[in-house]
Parts: sequence; structure tokens; C-alpha cells
Amino acid sequence: MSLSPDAACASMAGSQTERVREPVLELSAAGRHGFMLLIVGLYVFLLAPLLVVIFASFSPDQRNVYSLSQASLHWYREFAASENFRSAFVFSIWLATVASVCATVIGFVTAYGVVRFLDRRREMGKAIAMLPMMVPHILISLSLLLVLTRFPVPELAALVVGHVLICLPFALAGIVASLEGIPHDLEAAASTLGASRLRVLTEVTLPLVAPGVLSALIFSFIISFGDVDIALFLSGPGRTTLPIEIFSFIQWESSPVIAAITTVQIFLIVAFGLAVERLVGLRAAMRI
Amino acid sequence: MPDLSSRNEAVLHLEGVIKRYGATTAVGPVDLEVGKGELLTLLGPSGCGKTTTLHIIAGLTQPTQGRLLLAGREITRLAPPYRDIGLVFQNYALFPHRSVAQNVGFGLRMRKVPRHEIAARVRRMLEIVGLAGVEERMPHQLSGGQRQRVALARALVIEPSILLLDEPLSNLDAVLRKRMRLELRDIQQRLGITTVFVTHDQDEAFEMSDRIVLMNAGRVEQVGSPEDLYDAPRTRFAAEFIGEANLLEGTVVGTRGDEEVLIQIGDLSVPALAVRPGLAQGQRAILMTRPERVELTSRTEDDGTAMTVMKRIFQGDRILFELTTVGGQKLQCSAASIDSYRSIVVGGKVAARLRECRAFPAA
Amino acid sequence: MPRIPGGLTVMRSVERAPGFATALLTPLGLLYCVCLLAPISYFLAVSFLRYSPDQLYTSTFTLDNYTRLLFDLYNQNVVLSTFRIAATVTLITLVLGYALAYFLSRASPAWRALLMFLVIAPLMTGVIVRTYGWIVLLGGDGLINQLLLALGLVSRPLQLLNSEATVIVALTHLMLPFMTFPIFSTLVTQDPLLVPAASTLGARSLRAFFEVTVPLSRSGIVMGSVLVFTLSAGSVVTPALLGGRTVMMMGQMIYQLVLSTFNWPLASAFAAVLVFCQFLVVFAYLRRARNVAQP
Repeated sequence: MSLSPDAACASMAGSQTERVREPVLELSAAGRHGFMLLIVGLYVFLLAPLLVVIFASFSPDQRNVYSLSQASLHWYREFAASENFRSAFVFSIWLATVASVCATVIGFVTAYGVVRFLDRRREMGKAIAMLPMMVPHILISLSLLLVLTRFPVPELAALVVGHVLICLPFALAGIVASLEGIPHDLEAAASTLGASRLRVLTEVTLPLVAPGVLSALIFSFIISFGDVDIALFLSGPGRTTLPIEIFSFIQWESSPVIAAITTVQIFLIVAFGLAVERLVGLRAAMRI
Repeated sequence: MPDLSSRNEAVLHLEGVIKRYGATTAVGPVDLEVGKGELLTLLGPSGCGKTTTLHIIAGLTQPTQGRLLLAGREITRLAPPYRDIGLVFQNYALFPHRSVAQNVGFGLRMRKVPRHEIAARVRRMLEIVGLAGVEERMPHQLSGGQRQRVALARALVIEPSILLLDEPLSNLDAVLRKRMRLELRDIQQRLGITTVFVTHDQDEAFEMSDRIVLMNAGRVEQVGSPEDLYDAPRTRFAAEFIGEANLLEGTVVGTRGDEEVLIQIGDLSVPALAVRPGLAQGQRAILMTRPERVELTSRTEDDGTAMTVMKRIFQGDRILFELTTVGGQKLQCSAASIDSYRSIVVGGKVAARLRECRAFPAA
Repeated sequence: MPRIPGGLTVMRSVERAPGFATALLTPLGLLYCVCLLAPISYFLAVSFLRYSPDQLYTSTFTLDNYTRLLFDLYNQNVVLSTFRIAATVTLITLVLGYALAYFLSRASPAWRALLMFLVIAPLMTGVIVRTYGWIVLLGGDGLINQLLLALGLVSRPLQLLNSEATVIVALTHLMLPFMTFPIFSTLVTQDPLLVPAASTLGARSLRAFFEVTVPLSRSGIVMGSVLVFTLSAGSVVTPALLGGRTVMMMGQMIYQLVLSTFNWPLASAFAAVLVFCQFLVVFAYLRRARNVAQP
């Protein structure tokens, strides 16, 4: 079962030309098939709940199983007709937009500071930036709620702040990754050619970091839109996010209108996710 | 040859420039003048401070002490955009999101030159560097050599007071490097542009420079033309860094005037020129002679010393011999690859004469 | 003669002024201090105060909340089941996530982007969407039951929801990407020549895997495990929707305490214990990882 010499050579050649990795574990045919079966199973596992929901959303009535000819947009109409869900949807979009813009702006400024000015302590700077990820989100939410009850802070502000906090680590990671990819020489070159600090930023830095910034924006939007933990304690009348609205609804009744709503969410998020992938690559954006 | 006799001709002055990081002195003190149209090279091993010095001239680093003057203006505290310099980076630093034409024209755009004029000047400069017709290409579509020329064009097109080059040829393969050296020097001379060039490659410095500033550990070891540095190195470091050198430690046993001394090394007694006046009788000194200045004959005559050949390395156009004296001193001799020398074999006895030696203090 | 921009001498330092750097880092620093650290400290401090029905909390210092938490049987159960579930989920996702990460790291680059996207996509849709998906799948009239009924394997729909197992399955589903990607990152950056090198030294394939590949992916394993454990232990919505009355995790407990009985001090105590145990797990993991590195 040891690695054959040609596989070793092939892997060496591969690593120099294409970065395609030779399988490290040379298993017997049965082992390989078993492994692939596991992987396929995992993908089914990952995607099944989503696919099921999408399927159920086109059901003509309460059934979860139906034949395709009976598919209908009934529940989508019901979604559109529902005042609660519609306004929650709109609110979620608004909130995600605000939170993502704030997170991206703060993220950009911070990322620039960390990458260009923190030489030796950069790793520490990055670790500190990840702080909100180290804490359970409900803790963040509860703390802000507590502050709300003691200080005259608008509740909406607390909700926005909470979302900005959970989006920041991701926004930062994405922009830092992008900035680190810009050789420092480029800004120095622009400077020696006569560009003032501001022009260096607009002519060189921003255009090159734009994909990272855009992906940070979109990724933050996705996180804010799908968040439950923060909104759980900070939502209220007139400021209920879609996930919370759904959560409340599900606890009392079950109706495929939820399937329609979540399907819309799925497509929205997937579209955005694809955009991030095109721009910067999701792995870099997630930095996990 | 540029005339450096009058101070007015010098384009760049560095006066007492020192760069410290905390308690460590990275560079300095450096006192330099670069004449109009001159190509001055900062030469030295990595970490000697040559790049830092260049960055100080460019304004990317601020000196802790000292003054810089460029074309009559004091630029010590001036930010890079205002210094009127052109800088070519080791990795070219081309803007990846801009075309060749946009890259080259960048500096002109910053100087608010009208658009049609930019286009004309960019085209002309690309021709000068040998890259006509690539205006619309993007940097990633160019080869290393082409990128280097674009970087050069970009720095030259703004007609700066001084051109600064930070090891621009290091990333090229050996063949391209040799060719670019000559082309670069050619362009520089044609345009008559004052240039400071940084490299660690001694051959490069020799082929291109009007003068060389040899640096080591942040200090200036020696300044001079390539010939000065080769014939008369003033320190052990200079002798070893430039070319090959035979360095033998001995004692001054005789002096004549300020310059001529006699050095005794074991059983060898060799006349030499002191590189600096003041070598005293009895002082420990280092004798230096270049391998090609060790003359060989096959008999002990004139004032040759008897030596045995320990190694013989055939190098094509030359033959390198390693010789040992009776007293155990080792010497390298580089001889032309002609019949009379080819016949010398390992173990053979030869007489060698050390010519044109230099001596400097052993400390 | 070209104009030099701003031809006058500018008496301005060109080097990285520390002031500028500080200005850049201030917004984040300020935000974290004022909106994250201060409120959290405040909130956790409340756990040491006495509960009162008509106020949020009183200003009497007490350790009552912690005693109630640690010695009350019901509360103990909540804490234990939380960590039991979190640990189970972590272990399962470790095995499954490693397999997935390994597969992804060996996939050809052409496919890899798509395959990775398929792993991330569920993550991005949010907790509610995916939990609801499980409800649809596992509910009384859900897909799985319909399938089982149709195949004649059961005569009545199975009660698949409302159990701890369901919660574990759903949490695994949620957490899998969080485990997969850190491990993937470390696997992908490994020198591809390491295992062939090991094989020339005599290590057979499986041995090479455990002696070379796995230890080198340690940082990914640690990061993934810490992430998954933290997120699982703190989950609220998933156990609430899928566990029914049989599952009560600390997150749910806190939710109820705050929004139903307004018992902030006790809720805060629970949260403090949650965070504390979380850090314990992190340190223990890191310590063990470091020990393993130096046999």
C-alpha cells in the first residue's frame, strides 16, 4: 500500500506545474469507493434540507410531496400578500445594507492601518479584530440589550451595532487579504512618480483592493441577513428581521409559506455568494 | 567623463546623512556628490545599506540626520512626489490594472501634462527603451525583460533631475542581464541623465559605472572609478569584494617616502604602494596583489621567488594556479591560457614575481 | 518643462507617522471597547447581583446565581447536556469535516471552486433556513416519513423531531463547513512532497497519513473544533425548534430567563459559565496540541 515511485514523481511534477495533488492515501478500490460514497453522502446531507425546502415551496397546498405538474406559486403569492413578512423582508434588507456598509468602511480603514502600519504586531492586530467571533453572539446581543435598558440609546442603533460587530471580522479578513496582495512597492512607485497620498489611494490602492472591498460588503450583507442570535434579543415592533419573524411564526404554526420565504432567501444569498466567489474567492473572504 | 571639478556641476549632494533605527545605525555617515550625467553605483553585499541610502534619496525613508540637495534645492524633508526623481524598483512595481501606456504616462498625468503630449512622449520613450508598439498591453502579458523596460520608460519619461535604480536587473536571467546592462548604460549616456544605481553585482558595477561607492555595514568603504577600486582598494573588505585578491599579512620592514613600503611576509620580501600614507616601520600590514599580476617564469631569475604549484584549474581563456612558497604562503595566480603557461603542471616548480602590490594596515 | 506637483517645499515627514496609524485603528478600537467589551463586562458582572422580580437586578452582591446554577439539578442538566451535545457535534464534524476537507484538497482546481461553493452555500443561507429545512425533512408529514411510508418500511410516521439526536444532526449540518474550511486551509498549504518523502523513509501510506498529514493539519483541527464547539454550545434557535421539550441547552435557557422571567442575573450567570467553559476548552485544546507537538 505504499506510495509507488511513479506516483511520487508524478506528484512532484504535478506540484511544480499544476498544483494538482496526487492522492496521498492509496487505498484499495473498495476503500476508494467507500470514501467517495461518504463524500457524496456528505454533499447530499449538506444540500438536502435546502433542496427540500425549495421543492416544498412550490407545493400547491400543505403537502410536502407532490408531482411536478401540480407545482404552483401559491405560497409565493401568500408571502407577497403577508404584511408581516413583507415588511420584515424589507427591514432585513435595509438592516443588512446599513450594517454591511458600516462594517466595510470600518473594516477598510482598520485593514489599511493593520496592513500598512503594523509590521511586527500584525498578527496580534488581526487576532484582536476577530474578537466578536470568539464570543457567543447571544452574549453580544444580551449585553447590548442590557445597555439599552440602562442608557437612552435608540433600539435600532443597538441592532445595527450588533450586526456591525458580527460582520466586522469577516469584512476585515476579506479586505486584509486583498490589501496584503498589493505589493507595497506599487504605492511607493506611484508616490515617486508624483502622486500625493490621496491620489495614491485613489489611483492605486482602491482600484486594486476593490474586489476585496466589494466581497467584504457582500459577505457582510449575507451574514447580517441570515443572523438570528443578535436579532433574537434586539428585535422589536417595527424592527423585526425576517429570520426572527419566521422563528416566531414557526413556533406556533407550520405553513409552506415559510418554504417560499426561505427559498427566496436561498436564491438571494446564493446569488450574492456567487458574486463574492467571482470577485475574490470565498475562502479568502471567510479566512477560516 | 563628467566634470566633477566644480561643485556647481553636482546634481545630488548627500551631506552627513545618517539613518538610525533605535540604537542601531543602519547607514551613515554618508557624504556623496553625483555629477551631472554621471552614473554612480552603490555597490555592496546585502544589508550594507545601499538600498536604504537609495530610499533616502528617493524620499521613501527619512534620514535621522544630514541633508540632501537635488538640483540646488534642499529636499531633505520633501515627500517623494515633490522631489523630481525617477525610481525603478527591483520588482518593477508596474500597476497591474493599467496598460503599458497608462503606466508610462502616469507620472506625466500627475504633472498635469496635456493628454496628447503624454501620448506622444510615451510613444517616444517606449521607442527609446526598445518597446515600440506595446502601448495597449497589460503588464501581466509582458516578459520580465519587457516589464523592466516599461519600468525604466515610466521613470525616464518625466525627465527627472535624477534617475534611481534599485537592483533593476536582479530578477532577469543571466543572458538578459548582460544585455540589459549595456542597453541601460547606452540609454543613460544618450539621454545624459544623472543616475544612481544600486547593485550587489561587482561585474555589473564595473561595466556600467562612472564611479562606484563601495558600502559595507552601513558605511562607505571607498569611492572611486572602477579602476581606482580595482587597482587600489583601501581596505581588506574592498580588496576582497572587488575581484579576486591575494591577501598576505606581513610586517613593514622598510619605507621610502610616504607611499613606497617593503613588506616582509615569512620568506617573501615584496615592495608595495601604501594606499594611505602613514604606514610605519614595524607595523602589521596586509599585502594585496591581484592574481593576474603574479608573474610566472619557470626559472628563478630576476627577483622571482621559488614556488610550487599545488593546484591547476583550466578556465578556458585563463588558467588558475594555486602556488605555495617554501615558507608556506599561499598565492593564487591567474595566467593567460598560452603554451608557455599551459605546460606548467601540478607539483612543478616555478618562479613568481608579485607586481603592482598594494599595502594597507592590518587592523 | 514639466511641473512638479506642489513645487514648494513641504515641511512634512514622509515616514509612517504613528499618529496616522493610530487614527486608522481608532474606529475599530473604540467600537470594540464601547460596544463590545464594556457591555459584555457589564452584563457578566450582573451575574454577581441579586435577582429581583420588579427590577432588572438589585445592587446586592451575591453568589446565589452561581450556586443555583451549579447545584440545582435541572440547571446542572442543562449545562451538561449543552456540553454533551456540543462535544458530540464537534467529534462528528471532526471526522466528517476532515474527510470533506481532505477530498477538497485533493480535488482538481477546476472542480474545487464549485465543490467548495456547495459547502459554503448552505452556511450562508442562515440558521433559520437550514433548521426549517430539517423540519420539513423530518416532520410528521416531512419528506423522510413520506418516503418511509411509501416504501412500506413503517406504518405510521416516525417521530423524528423533538429529540436530542435531531438537534445533534441539525447542528452537525450547520457546523460542518466551519470545521471543513480551517482543516482544508492547512491541508492545502502542506508541501506536497512531504508524504512521498515519508514514504522513502519507510512510512506506508496510512502511517504517513497519520504521522505526517494529520499532525501538520493540527492548527486547522484546533481552529475548526474550537469554532464548532463554541457555536454549538451557544445555539438557541436550532435546539428550540428541533428539540422541543426534550432538549434544553444553555442558549435556550438564557433566552427564556431574559425574555420570559426577566431573570437577568441568572441568565448572566449561565452566559458566564458558557463563556468560561468555552475558554477552558480552547486552552485545553491548545495546551494538548502543544504537548503533542513536543513528545
